[in-house]
Amino acid sequence: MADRALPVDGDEFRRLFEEHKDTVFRVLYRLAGNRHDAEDLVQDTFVRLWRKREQFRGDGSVEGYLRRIAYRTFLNARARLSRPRAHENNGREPVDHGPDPSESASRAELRSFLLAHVRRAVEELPDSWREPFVLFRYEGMKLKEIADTLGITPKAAEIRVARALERVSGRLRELKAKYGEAL
Amino acid sequence: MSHDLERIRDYVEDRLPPAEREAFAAEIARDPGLAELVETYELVVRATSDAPPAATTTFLDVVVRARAARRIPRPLLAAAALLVAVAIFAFLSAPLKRTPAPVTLKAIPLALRPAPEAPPHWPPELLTHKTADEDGLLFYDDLSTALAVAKAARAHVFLFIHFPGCSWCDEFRDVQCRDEAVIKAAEPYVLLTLDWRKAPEALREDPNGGWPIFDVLDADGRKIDGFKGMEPAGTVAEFLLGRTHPRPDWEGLGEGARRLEEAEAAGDAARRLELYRQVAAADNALSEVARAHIAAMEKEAQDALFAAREDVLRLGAAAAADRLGSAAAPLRGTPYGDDLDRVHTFVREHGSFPELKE
Repeated sequence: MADRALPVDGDEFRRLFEEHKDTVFRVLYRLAGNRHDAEDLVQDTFVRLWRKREQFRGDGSVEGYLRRIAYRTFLNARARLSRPRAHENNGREPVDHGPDPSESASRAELRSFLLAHVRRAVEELPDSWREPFVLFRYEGMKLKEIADTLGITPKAAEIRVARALERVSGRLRELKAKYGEAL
Repeated sequence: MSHDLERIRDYVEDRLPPAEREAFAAEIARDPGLAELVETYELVVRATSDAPPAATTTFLDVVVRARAARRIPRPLLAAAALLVAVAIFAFLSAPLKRTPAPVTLKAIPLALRPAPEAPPHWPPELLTHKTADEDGLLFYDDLSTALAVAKAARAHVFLFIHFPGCSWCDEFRDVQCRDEAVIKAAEPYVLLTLDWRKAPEALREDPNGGWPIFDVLDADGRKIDGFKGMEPAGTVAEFLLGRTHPRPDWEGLGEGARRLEEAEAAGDAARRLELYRQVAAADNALSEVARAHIAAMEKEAQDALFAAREDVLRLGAAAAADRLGSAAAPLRGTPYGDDLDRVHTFVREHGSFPELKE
């Protein structure tokens, strides 16, 4: 797919959509945090791509170009997204972190319990930490690329990713303090 | 720190070259803090490795979205923005239009004034009074003129009634009328001489009492005093001086009359009003004449204003504006014209008649 022009007719564009929609969806799902917003953003991303098809100079991969449009679409839409924020639970039912490990729990069950907590800890990160962390973790971006994508300084990107990791690490320490032997 | 974060990730995801990986492993073994972060990141990777759900969005969804969000052409967008701006401006200015500020009148009174009587005309040649020349006293020989001058000057009339063939009458003309004391004493009077035969009935006294006959009349022609027969100049002067009577400012009256004449000829309303005001400021009979002229000007403006208010209701704002414009033009430069101009502007801008204040 690299180094080729964007399609200018509907059929080719449909093929490009089918080829890349899952990749774009995965990125946006992880950034937005829910399927509903991610689906919307995928549509917006491809609409933008169609409008900008003539601006694509062909000096990079279409996928890279598409990802950049997806990030930009997410950033533009961020204020209106409906992502449920687990860390702002506001009086709703407590978040289910899975069953408590007991003496009789198997090692596999303990591992599952631990991973559920880690996943939840990542989901509960503040947006300003979670977004660079998602790009770092899933997109494999260097900190400089994260900074460019989010419009922040490289130092800020580094601090946010580090704090995200420290926050998850802290949760792990709490769990170990509580269930040390079992975990 | 950035180096560490990226190396932690690359180590956990097994993307480091073998030598570098080995060195980093040794580093982890020496640094418990680093080891904790590596362990955390390993757990994060495992915890978040589940594949996300598959996208259900179809190409049709994208087409529908694209049509719904079809970009509006820039000129249309600019036109819409302009319309919105105009609408906002209209909305913001609407309260002002609903309750425009009242117009404050500086000269035209709001209380309805009666129409002033036509002011009398005083020819300056009458009021530039001269009671005598080198030939002695100068007499009017027409009763109505003399009374008019007397009225304008608030003066009394000294009437000398003669009769043809009356030698005393001739002597009075030749002697007393040239006497300086008499000339001086006669100065406050309007001087009138009449032939007994042509005098009004009320003034035609019995000629047997002596000649000439002398009367003092008020400005309405009523006799106030008098004497008959020839008297020496000193007695005549004494008679004239001894009476209580008004002493007109002949010079001021002459100047006032000249100004009134100039005002009537002036095409410029501002100049006309200025002259009327100068005359009105003097305390003489002409002041009232000048005030009458000012009142007529004021009434003209007031009539136009009130008529325009009715026009708005009966004929519409355009008719009212026409009337106000026509009325203001000849009064331009005066406070009355300014008042009419302000109301005229209001009616044109708002299409209604303003609330008026004094």
